[in-house]
Amino acid sequence: MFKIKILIIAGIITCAAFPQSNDTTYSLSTEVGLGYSRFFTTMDYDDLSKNGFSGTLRVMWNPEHLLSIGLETGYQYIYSIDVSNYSTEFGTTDFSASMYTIPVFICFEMKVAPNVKLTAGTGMYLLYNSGNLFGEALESSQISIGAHIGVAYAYPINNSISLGGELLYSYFSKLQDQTVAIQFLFIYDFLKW
Amino acid sequence: MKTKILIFASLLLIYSCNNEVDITNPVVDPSNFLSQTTPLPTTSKVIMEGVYTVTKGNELLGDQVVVKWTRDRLSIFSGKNGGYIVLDGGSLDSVVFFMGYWRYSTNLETGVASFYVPSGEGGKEIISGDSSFSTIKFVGEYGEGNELANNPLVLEFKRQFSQVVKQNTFHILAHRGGGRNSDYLGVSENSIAMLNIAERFGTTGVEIDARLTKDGVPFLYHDSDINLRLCQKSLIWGNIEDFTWAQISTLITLRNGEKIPSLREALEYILEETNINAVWLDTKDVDVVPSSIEIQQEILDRAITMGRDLKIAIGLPADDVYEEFIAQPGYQDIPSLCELSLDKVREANSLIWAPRWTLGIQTSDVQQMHAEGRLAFTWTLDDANYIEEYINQGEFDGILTNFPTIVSYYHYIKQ
Repeated sequence: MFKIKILIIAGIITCAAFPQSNDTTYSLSTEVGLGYSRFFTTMDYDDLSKNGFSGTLRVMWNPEHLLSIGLETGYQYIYSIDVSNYSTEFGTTDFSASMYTIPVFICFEMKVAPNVKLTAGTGMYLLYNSGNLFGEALESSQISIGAHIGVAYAYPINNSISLGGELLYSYFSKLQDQTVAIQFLFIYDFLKW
Repeated sequence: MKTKILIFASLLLIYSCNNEVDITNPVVDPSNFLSQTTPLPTTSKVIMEGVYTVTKGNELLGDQVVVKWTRDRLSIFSGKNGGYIVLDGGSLDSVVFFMGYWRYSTNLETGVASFYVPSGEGGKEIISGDSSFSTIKFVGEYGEGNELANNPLVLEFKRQFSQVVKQNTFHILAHRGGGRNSDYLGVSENSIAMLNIAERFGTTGVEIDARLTKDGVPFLYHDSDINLRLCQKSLIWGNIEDFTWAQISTLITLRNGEKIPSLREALEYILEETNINAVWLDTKDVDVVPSSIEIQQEILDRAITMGRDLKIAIGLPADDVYEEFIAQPGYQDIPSLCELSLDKVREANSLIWAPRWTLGIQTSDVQQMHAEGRLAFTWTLDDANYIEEYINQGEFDGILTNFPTIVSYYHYIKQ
């Protein structure tokens, strides 16, 4: 239900899109987002920590249209758990496990209001697992397809730099779970022509 | 327009991977009525088996069905939609009662079913084990879903199984221990729970998938990775063979909540708790071959001690596994099942040759294998029309299928 609401709101905002004010300039920009992520899962573990760091790095090509396209990578904390004296059929042990992801995405952005844009991306999430159980390391990685959608506000400080924030919803098909991240956003147009 | 496409694509991506279907067979509590009945002896069970005419309830079962005891349940197999009925039963006075559920294996329909065999319609003869009966009539009802049974269902004894069926051992081999998760059987593929119910679908043999943990324990699992098709959500993901047996056992549960069984646990269960007489051990990894052979030999030795007819064949599905197998000492004395060429079957001295069904009936090659004292199985045949064709026109000794109920029906009606 939450996913549907996000998408409906995004759709309504998009319907109200207005023309780009400066339609003669092409630019390449880099966007850095740093913030906090919350993992939403149906897994039921009391000690599961679901809050952590989220960071995104995008390089976007901004043509004279409303729609921009680019590539995205970054880092997102998914979860961690640390349990002492974990009781199992093999005996009692300390147990830890954690997961983070690095996205490799193609990303789209569309300006929908002054300083406001919608973000959507899809591609691969590289999921990395680590931890320890019975004194043996848990180490593995996996690829998941996924997608994210978000809304960003960026206020131009000068001709090349904008500062703002972004709310980002991400979905991991492999896990069938999601995260919501809120990030500080730094945008720098490093090349214009 | 671009935005609409984007939103549509996002919706598609988010929801396309989550098409779960919830199908639960009705549970008939035998503790109420059936607890008052007496279990039937083997002599009673045998005389009930045969081909029956459906005189009421044709819309559910078609015109005829097969009635067959499968270990502890009475199973009825029909030719319509892979339909089957699984029943608990027992006798009270001179009447035989059955309660259970029906299911179409090729779709999601299911419901409750119950029967009784009246005293004067074969009930007395069944209970006394008298095979000189003149008729056996199952009188019953069935319902849709969890509704109470209220549609009439009557089966009348038509004939016993033919001599062809009685005299030849035909292997009805169930894929992944009995069926796939996608078949909605209520238990997980490659689990002990699946092995427990496999015979109710007419299964006489099973194919199970073997992999090797990081610390060298063979276990049952089909895919290379931990995923939600096979498992519940867990804290570890990735290549399942990257983890130790203790880690897998502790942290991963199968789709329907079962533990992943080790190969030893699975084979011991088959040996001790079932009547399954053939195991096709599908080796999913080259590294699992040596340890699988070790366990295979141990279980086969125990089967001999128990006087149990049990074949366990190491699957040779690809060249790399084949090469590993023939590198083992005494490999020609190790029962194996080779999916490769006839030359490789001979080189490995495989007990069974197993070509894929799409290669055809291959009667000449099958006869060559028979002449050399080998068996021939074909896989993985799920289409009812081809199953009928392969049973009636082919000479294979077994069919591996996801729908053993369909294979059972066409096998047991064979004249």
